[in-house]
Amino acid sequence: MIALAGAAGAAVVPLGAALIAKRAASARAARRVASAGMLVAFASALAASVATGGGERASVPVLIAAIGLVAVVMSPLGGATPRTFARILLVVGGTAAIVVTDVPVALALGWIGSIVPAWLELRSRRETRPSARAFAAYLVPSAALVTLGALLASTGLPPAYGLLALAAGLAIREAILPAHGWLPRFVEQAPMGLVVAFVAPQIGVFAHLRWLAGRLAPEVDLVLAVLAALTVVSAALLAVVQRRARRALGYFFVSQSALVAFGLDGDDVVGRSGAVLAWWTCGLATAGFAMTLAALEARRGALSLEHAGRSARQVPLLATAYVVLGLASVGLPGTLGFIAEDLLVSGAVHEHPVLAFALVVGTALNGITVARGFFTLFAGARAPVGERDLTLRERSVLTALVAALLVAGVWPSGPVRWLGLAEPPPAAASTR
Amino acid sequence: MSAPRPSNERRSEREALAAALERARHLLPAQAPIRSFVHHNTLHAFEDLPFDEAVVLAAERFGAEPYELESAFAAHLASGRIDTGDLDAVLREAAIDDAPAWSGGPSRRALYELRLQHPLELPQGAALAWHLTEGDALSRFHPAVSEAARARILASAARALGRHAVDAPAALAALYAALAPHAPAAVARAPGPRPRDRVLAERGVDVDELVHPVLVRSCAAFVDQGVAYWSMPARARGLFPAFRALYAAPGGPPDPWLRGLGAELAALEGQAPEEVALDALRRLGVGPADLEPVVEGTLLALRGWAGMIAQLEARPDRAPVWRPPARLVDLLALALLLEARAVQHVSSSRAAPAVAASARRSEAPELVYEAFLLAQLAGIGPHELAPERARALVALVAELDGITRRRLWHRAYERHHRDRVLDALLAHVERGVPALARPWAQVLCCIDDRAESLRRHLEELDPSIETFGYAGFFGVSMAYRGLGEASARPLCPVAVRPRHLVVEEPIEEAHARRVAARRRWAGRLRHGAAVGSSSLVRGGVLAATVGMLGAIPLVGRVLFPRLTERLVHHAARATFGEPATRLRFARADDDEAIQDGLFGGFTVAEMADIVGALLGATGMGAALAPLVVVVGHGSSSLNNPHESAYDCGATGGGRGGPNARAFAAMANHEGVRAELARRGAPIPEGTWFVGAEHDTCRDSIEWLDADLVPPTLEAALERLAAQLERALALDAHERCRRFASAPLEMTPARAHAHVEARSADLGEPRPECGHATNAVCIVAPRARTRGLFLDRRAFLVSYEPAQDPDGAHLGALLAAVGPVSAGINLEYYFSFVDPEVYGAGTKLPHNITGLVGVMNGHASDLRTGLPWQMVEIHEPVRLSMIVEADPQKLERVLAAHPDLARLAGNGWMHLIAWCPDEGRMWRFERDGFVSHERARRDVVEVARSPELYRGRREHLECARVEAALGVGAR
Amino acid sequence: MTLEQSLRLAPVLAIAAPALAFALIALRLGIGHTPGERWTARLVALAFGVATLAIAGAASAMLVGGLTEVHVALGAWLEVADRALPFELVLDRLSVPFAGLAAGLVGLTGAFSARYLHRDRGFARFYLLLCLFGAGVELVLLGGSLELVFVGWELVGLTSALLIAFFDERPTPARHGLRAFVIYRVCDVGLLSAAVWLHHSAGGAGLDASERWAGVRVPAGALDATLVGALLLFAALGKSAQIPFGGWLPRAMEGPTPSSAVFYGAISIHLGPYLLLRAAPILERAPLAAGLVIAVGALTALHATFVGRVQTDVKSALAYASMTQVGLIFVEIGLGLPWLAIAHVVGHASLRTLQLLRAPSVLHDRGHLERAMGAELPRAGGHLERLVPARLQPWLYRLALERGYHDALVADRVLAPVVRWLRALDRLEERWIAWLEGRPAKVAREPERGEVVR
Repeated sequence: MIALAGAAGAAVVPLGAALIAKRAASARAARRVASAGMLVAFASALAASVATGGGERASVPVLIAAIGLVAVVMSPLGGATPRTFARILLVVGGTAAIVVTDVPVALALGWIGSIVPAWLELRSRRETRPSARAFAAYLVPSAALVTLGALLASTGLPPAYGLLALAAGLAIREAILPAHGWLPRFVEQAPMGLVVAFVAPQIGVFAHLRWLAGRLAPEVDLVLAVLAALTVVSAALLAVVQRRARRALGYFFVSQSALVAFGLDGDDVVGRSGAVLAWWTCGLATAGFAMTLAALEARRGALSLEHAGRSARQVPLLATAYVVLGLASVGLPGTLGFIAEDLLVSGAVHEHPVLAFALVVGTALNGITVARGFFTLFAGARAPVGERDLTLRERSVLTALVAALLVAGVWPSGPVRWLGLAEPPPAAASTR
Repeated sequence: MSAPRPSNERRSEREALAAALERARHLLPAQAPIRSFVHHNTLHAFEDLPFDEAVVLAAERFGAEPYELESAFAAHLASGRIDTGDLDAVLREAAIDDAPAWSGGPSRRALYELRLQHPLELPQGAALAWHLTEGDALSRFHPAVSEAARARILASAARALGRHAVDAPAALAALYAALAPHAPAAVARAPGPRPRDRVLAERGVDVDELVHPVLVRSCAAFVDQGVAYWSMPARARGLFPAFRALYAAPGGPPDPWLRGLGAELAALEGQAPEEVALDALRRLGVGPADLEPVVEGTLLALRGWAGMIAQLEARPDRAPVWRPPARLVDLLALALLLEARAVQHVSSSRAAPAVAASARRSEAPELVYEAFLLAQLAGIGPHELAPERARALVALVAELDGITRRRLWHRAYERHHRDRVLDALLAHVERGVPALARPWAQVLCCIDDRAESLRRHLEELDPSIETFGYAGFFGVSMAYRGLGEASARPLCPVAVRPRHLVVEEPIEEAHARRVAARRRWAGRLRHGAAVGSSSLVRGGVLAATVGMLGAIPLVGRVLFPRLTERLVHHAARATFGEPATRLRFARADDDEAIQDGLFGGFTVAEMADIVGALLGATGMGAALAPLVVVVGHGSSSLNNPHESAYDCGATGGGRGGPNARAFAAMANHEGVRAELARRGAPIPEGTWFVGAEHDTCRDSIEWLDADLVPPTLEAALERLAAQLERALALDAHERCRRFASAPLEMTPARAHAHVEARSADLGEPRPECGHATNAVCIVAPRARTRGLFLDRRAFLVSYEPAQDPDGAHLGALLAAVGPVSAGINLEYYFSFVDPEVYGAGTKLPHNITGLVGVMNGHASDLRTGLPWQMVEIHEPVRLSMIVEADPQKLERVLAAHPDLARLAGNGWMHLIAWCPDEGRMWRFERDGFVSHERARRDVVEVARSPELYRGRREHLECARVEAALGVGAR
Repeated sequence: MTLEQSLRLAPVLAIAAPALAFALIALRLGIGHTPGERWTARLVALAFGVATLAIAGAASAMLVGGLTEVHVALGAWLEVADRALPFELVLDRLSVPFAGLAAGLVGLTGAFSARYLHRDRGFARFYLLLCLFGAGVELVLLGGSLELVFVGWELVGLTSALLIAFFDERPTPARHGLRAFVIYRVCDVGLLSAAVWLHHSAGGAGLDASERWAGVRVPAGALDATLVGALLLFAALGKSAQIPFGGWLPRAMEGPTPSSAVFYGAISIHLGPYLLLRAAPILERAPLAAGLVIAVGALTALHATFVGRVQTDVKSALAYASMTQVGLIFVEIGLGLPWLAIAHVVGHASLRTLQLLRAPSVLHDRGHLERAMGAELPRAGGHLERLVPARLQPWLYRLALERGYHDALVADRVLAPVVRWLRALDRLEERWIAWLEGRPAKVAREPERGEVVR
């Protein structure tokens, strides 16, 4: 009961806040409303999760609310309108709605509900309007497939087709090769807060765990695993050679989400635990990482990775947050990301030794992408005049995020137990 | 390569190239191999222009800062280092008119003053946008805005908006909105003249990144004085031929842009580098009009190395070991040849030209923002800002741009210091400096600012010791070869080529030979180990067997530097011994033998000239004391590639001890004394000269030929040595207050140990402060400045105007001292103002290359100028040269010495004429001398210097020290 | 406290002391309160003093107690199903000398830098990274499983790269820091893969007791053993700057002199040999892997000594000299001479650290030497000129001056085509999306810079 209330809080509060934010006088006021709303949502989700003693399911709303909080609080005002913040909240609410209920139709509704605001935001600006078309070209089919899958699942027909449709719909949203094309473009064009709210929770992973894990035919699993591994490496490669920071981030997202998806497809308990852990750390760390990039972008304008950047002299905290969060999302030892990566690879190595190797290479490359960004954006020339370091608002949310990742990295047993990963999950046990 | 052209066109092209090369040569850093570092004006090439014009022009050309940064001036204003009085005076001088900026508005002068009182942080571009959207620039008044101004703006905004009252955000928004439409168009920066600049602008690729590593490698290999085990083959033929010989061979480097280089070079067989350069220019599409800027830009892009090549071309004798046949045109040809390849490579890649990454900005919102802040400060509200007034305000802000502001601040900053020194001098003399009783000892030091404190402490300890200042080579221009040294090196000002050789010889030949043999044996061992440790087999054996022993010196050197140094020193002495020596400095009058262009010593007449000139100019000769000590100076420190920059500038970056020793020996020479007596300037029978060398880093003194002192003076020498020892400890004590890493409360003895440790410490990047803080040069008898605390900031030149009525001595003195001290001062100025471009940056990553200079890391340009650690505590003010002479006499001197006139007239230093007896001073401006308006300021009075400086780290003002006046002596 | 207990404490202290110092400095920096120089330097001296003493104490205790190998199990770091990450540290005849040397040298460098970096604006940052580096190194050296070694290994790489880029207002340090990071990160793949593969093939990546010192568990299959050996060698190549990953070493000299000395003269560069010494049981079982080690080492030693001979700047010359000796050490390890290798490492580290710290004194020292010799120093390289035929000389000299074309080959033959191909792929993607968006497919082809990582 408490769990449901808390989880519902994660979904309902943002939706309510969205209505207020939309009417705010200025973007600044909208951000204030949205931040407060997300804080309430996060607190209620966390309280509910703690009260029920954690567990994989009960804690997912916490993840979504945390990402939403980071996205809203860190969103720069430049180019944003009150509606932007309302839409970010709608995306968060829609995403959270998916996880609170087990009804397939709710899945479909939440799915659509999180896509539409993002699409509307792209439509709302002249320069990004064409991108809305590409976005729709991928995500409308995704929504359709998921809806179809959900409907098939609720009619009680033989599940195979429904599951296949669902898997395909999820793969698009997870940007698995070859259905990944929309994501880099989306990251380049949309406001970063929206991107993070839409992408970082990796709602596909949840849906996968909830609806698909252990139910797909082994051949389908294998195909998905190969595709995911391919995505991990090729997107990491593409990220490393990018010239624009945003586009690099786009491919980085593609690679990272495929990494998580990969672990979900095996039936090794260790690998699955690794994937869940990676889902959490990647979600949180990349959300923070992307938002620090946005914070820098707001201070410096469009960021190029081609030319030597500017010293971090005036923005030491921003630079530190960038490098710690970036490396945490690619498994920097000392953060939870490392544990996740180790489990993920260890789990995979028995079944697919070659693919496991691909994961290692992929994370290594993503690490290079992060470092390349760091060394080109935060070093190379004298610092520009008047650049401000993180504001108190930005600092508080990033500090909490970094602290959580570091503490969990040094003492991983805590979060592992809280997420209920120490024992084999009942879901997997019951279906096998 | 190219179609043959009519020969006269070719010739004119070559002439144009040669002319361009000559002009470019002047812009290159004039820094010799770092072993003999000599300070000079970094912008020597611009001395023909007034200082303010020159620094701006040079800043554009070199990409440097002309003055300190605005943030630095902000700190000066905050600390009171610049006060409103200074700003006021400067604005008056700059003739900023008092007319209102617009009818009914505040005066231009008032707005200028307001702006100058408030240095503002002005974010650019996206950072400004961030401030406006995310920051509180539009919601809160700038913190510096006064209450009254706030009220005025709020009222004005209320009127403008037709409301009863408005809050700050609304008022500020209205104010910003009133100014925003008047943003002037931003000026787009045109790319430079070089083909590389064009390629960079069009394609975003910097071909210098391809070309420079090759050039750096080649130059370094070419000039290397002995770092590399295997030196560049064929380098004796010159840089370009050597490069050609290396790279023309088949199978060259696989870099795509160098493909085909071998064939191209092979085809150049026998071509002069001038032809190669011209061909390359043609291929790069450089027309005759662009020839000069392109040549200049190409060389300036790698100015450290280009400067070194040019220096070695001009003065090969200053190369420490190997004299490379350096020619700047070789480097130019090579650079252009490679650049042509690189440009071709980049342009021919299939890639289309880059789309301009960021849309060009059409407006400059920065100026609007600045005007917005100024309006706040001035209390100008939106109601007052009708469009044309808003435009006028923005225009005023644009006119008072960063460079103008910094120029005005800089003047105020200098003025603040200069006027205080001048007034203190006037007050000091006015209060009276008692005449000195006949001194029992005289100490002749270098004019160096570092000697000021030593002299003062000595005088405080014993006011009956007289001190003098003279350029630290003491007139002895010689090439000197010390005992055991392989070759002679010049010890004289850089401008002079020595013609006389002085050699240090052992007294006991046999003993010296034994010592030398032992030392040679040990040296071979050490050298062998050093070379071996880098080789494959020997290095392996060394490391695996005795390598662990390396931990002992490592721990010792790092944790106990002073102890280790002493141990090493004593061990060396105990093992090898130190043979006693004498100088061979005299030659017979008829000995005209010349070796390597040098006479084997000085004739009696030459020596008498040297001794007589010094004794005359300083006024020493009039009343010589029985004991005269001549103190040269040098500095020793470890891990300090710039060690020689701390040595004596007057000896060309060497140690002045041998000069002092030679001078003393000459003055003691019987023949010289006889000759001087014949000339009517005798040295009294009972006077003896002793040489000494002051190590300014360790504050130790080494006596030279002290054993020759006549028995009657032994006691006096002992007494003087004891006083000097105490003075050195006090000198160390005073120096230590400037080291942030030295505790403020130390006894002189502790301080003395501290500075000794600094000089022996591998980890100490600031062994001493060198000339940092130098600001003044006083050319006057010591009687004028005796007892005045000058904070180690003044060059003190002894000059006796009474004995020089026609100014002949003065002219010679100023011609020697002026450029040298101004050179030191300006080098510190520029290295401080832009440590990255004019200076050598931080010392921490420096890497000695080829034994000629330092680079950052493994392949950078040579870093010229002074490292940051050396200039860190400097105050960038131009030198105030204060001369005891009336303006007419100085004008005559200037007329006779155009170099001096140029320096003073163009404002590279402030020249001040001083008539102490009249109590007046005149500053030399462009059009003559202007009387100095004296402000009556109190001069602090203390008994002894330590009372003044103890516990303080900052720059101190002049003060009277009674002890040295002989009044409060205890 | 019993001997046993105090021995348990020693390695923990050696890792925890620097880590704690790091955490304290980081905390103060994080709250925007830059700590004072004296406080920082003392804290760091204390931390490394404690670490050094702890290891020295452990060494003497082991000598007295006649122990050669102590495994300190500190419980599980993490347990998920059948996969456990035990937290175990090892004190043995390999780790103790290495760990003691490392703690001592880092501590000395810390003492040196208190004066050397005085008033530098990155003072606290330098010590922050130095502490993290120290903790990482001790973890590498004392870690009882390859996972723990990997944690330290990555931290060492990260701190090295950040210190190379210490001077962040110039473009080249950042570029070179990135280059080092890239090479480290690529080679780290080898270590992680080796750990994972050992889990797969040998049931764990812990260090097992053996007669000489604790060693990596040997997989049963010869192929597996060879694979793991090769992976560990790959991991060692990056840190130790062996062919073909040596290009970063001279470039690493962009950092402050003390960090260059301790990282690239002493510690970081010898971590490769350390790892291979740990893997000695595998190299003994897998002659092919051992052969590879010898081949790489010999090739590097020859390359580096040859290239080093023409270097005209002091630090590059020393960098190549280090590379030469580390190559030799690789050969010794491959040949099965572990004790010699240890002596070589310790001797070389002591010698080279001093030489690098003293590098800016080369002019001063040379002056002294010349006066001692009473002549200009004998010209070196004469026998090279005599031995090498005149016609070959320019060719060979150029090869050495261009550093064996090493970087050019790696950048242009390996990296550039890959980058070009990837960018072509990326353009294709952009076109596809442009088509979807209904925009004209005007995706400009941007100019190639030849290399991603410059």
